[in-house]
Amino acid sequence: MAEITKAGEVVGLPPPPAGRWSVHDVLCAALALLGAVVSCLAATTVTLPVESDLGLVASLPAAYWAGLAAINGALAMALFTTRSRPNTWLMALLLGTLVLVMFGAAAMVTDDPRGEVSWRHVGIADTLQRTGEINPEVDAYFNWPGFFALLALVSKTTGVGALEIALWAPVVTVALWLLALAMIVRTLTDDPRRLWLTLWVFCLGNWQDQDYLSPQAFGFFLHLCVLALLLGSLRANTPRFQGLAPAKLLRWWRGRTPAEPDPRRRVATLVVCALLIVVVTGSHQLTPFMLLVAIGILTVAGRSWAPGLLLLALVVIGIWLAFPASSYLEGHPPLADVGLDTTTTANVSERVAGSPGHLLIVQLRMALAAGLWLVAAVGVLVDRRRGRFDLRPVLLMAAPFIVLPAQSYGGEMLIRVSLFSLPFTAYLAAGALVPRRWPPRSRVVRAVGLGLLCTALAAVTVIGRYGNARFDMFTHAEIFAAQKMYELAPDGATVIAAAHPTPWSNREYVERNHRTIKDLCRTATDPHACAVLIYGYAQHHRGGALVLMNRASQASLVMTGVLAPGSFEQYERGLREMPGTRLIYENRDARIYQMGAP
Amino acid sequence: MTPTQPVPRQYPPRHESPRQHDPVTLILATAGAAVPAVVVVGVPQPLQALLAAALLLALPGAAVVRLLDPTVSALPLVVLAMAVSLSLAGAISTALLYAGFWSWQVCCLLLGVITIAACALRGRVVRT
Repeated sequence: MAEITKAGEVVGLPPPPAGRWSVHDVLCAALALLGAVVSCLAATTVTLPVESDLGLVASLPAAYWAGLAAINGALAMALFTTRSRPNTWLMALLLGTLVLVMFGAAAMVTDDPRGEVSWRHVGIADTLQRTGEINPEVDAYFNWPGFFALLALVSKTTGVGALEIALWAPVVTVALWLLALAMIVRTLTDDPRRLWLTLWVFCLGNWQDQDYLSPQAFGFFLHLCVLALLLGSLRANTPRFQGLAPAKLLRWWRGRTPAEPDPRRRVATLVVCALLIVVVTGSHQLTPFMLLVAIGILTVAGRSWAPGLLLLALVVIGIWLAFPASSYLEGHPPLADVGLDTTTTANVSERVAGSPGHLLIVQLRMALAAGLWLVAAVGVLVDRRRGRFDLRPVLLMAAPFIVLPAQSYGGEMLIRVSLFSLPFTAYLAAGALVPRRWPPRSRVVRAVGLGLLCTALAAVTVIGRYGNARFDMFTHAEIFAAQKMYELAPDGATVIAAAHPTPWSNREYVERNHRTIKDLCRTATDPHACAVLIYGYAQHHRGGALVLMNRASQASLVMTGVLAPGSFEQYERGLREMPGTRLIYENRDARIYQMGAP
Repeated sequence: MTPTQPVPRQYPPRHESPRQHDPVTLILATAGAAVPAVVVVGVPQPLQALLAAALLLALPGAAVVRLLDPTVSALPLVVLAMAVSLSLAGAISTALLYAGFWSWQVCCLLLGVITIAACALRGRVVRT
């Protein structure tokens, strides 16, 4: 019987099959490939618009779920019904099928990117391409332009449109995250089963939907790479902690030794870290602070051999905030909405609202996050009991929570904290699932249990990720209408949509003023008052305003509880009744009104 | 509690540096010269997209990582090559935008120059 040692190694297992595929491996691969083909074909049969408040889950046929279950079953078979180490290529194939089916599902349903934010990001990159310069006065994106500069370059160089890149971005992004996470896990354990389970659980817990074409997705990849280097070549071996007395602390600190014996490698790693930190800082508002906290916590715990990296990160962030981002910070102090109360209200109270279907989705997401944290806590206990406890993943799982009270981040802070915590949550949770002895006594029972658990987690994640599909997946008709609006808009006209879920901003990002009725009518008490506000706003613009009322905006306002069912029509009627307002375009899912034209 | 101790890797001593004319460095250097030129001139799709992806995702990063760490193993090489390539591409593009003379062709050529320079430096380091 093989046992997992303190170092996390599995002793006594036969060596890897060195590229040879057993019949068992071929069966697992065939099952996963069959599952992927079935799921993909099933997803292509879904037609838009999604009509249910439960999102894509209500539209995906049973075959999709059967395929997803087959892939998870193949994983359980590959890990637990064999006596040998997992075949690396087989596991990579299984993981690839899971990523494709879970994160590529929307791209198989439609050939347009999901979510308004992707369209907006395409518009920012388009602006940089066309103007060839950065105007920090435009908005926050132009104060952290690194990712958009990269996107502009990628789009121009490859000749592939940014919207096409956005369509498949989630699959590519998750693949990059998994590679970086594999590098991290390799520094924490040599147990191949724990490595693959961690990657698997990471996918199954990735309900946050932050892998679309965005600075966050790019920044998170670089964040993981820096952590991998910090846990690898820059790791410090620490002596036993003796107490908080200054002399003891000093002795403990001085007793650290570098895990990497070659100073050339340590310096090389520092150079790479410095480059990544600079790029992260110039690309995203939040990620540098998450990175700073992670580096800080490892340094304070004596687990980093490069305390200077903390100083470097502080200096880089400070310089960026003081110079390139100063325009934005003048009107938006970084700690303006500090406090746990503010964060809780913005991240929990305001989000747990809306239609019953939407509420169920929100509650499922919260339950999944809490459930994973619970399994991770069990994993910590299991690791302690088996004598393989490692403080670093525990610290890195907890580190993002330090940032939670500092910013509400537009009500998304809890989602981001959950994302940054996920790699280490997954690692610790995998610790609870890996058996102590190998091969385990009841392999088939364990395999069935793991398969069922993974299938359930995968289902909940798919439900959570695509829970907003009713308003974040656009029909061709509303996309056509949104693009038509730019063609119809006279010079100087502002463009107004009912709410943010609108496939727009991908062009004329700076040239046109983009506003939403939801934002403009914050103070309005009824549809007529709102219409008067919009009319007044339109009259202040040389070319008046074009107002787009589309299906997705209507769905989002009703689903999230901003409007009661039937209110949207009242608001639209109010707009139509304003003097000089006329309907200039109409299709099945959208209408364009012209207001206040000269 | 004892932190996890990965199996220590064997590093070549200083006098046993990688071979002077290792083929990978030569291939990278050649690609660093040829790929940007081809991408800037333009070739039909999907070749353009593939070559551009190689330039933006792999070449400069692989050259820089191999220069900084000659003994890097496969997984870190792949991950860091992508991270460093994307970071360099993003940094160059951002710098040119701030300078006010952004051009994707210039970005490509600079990425090629970095690739060749890293390969040349690696050759020099190996010789000394």
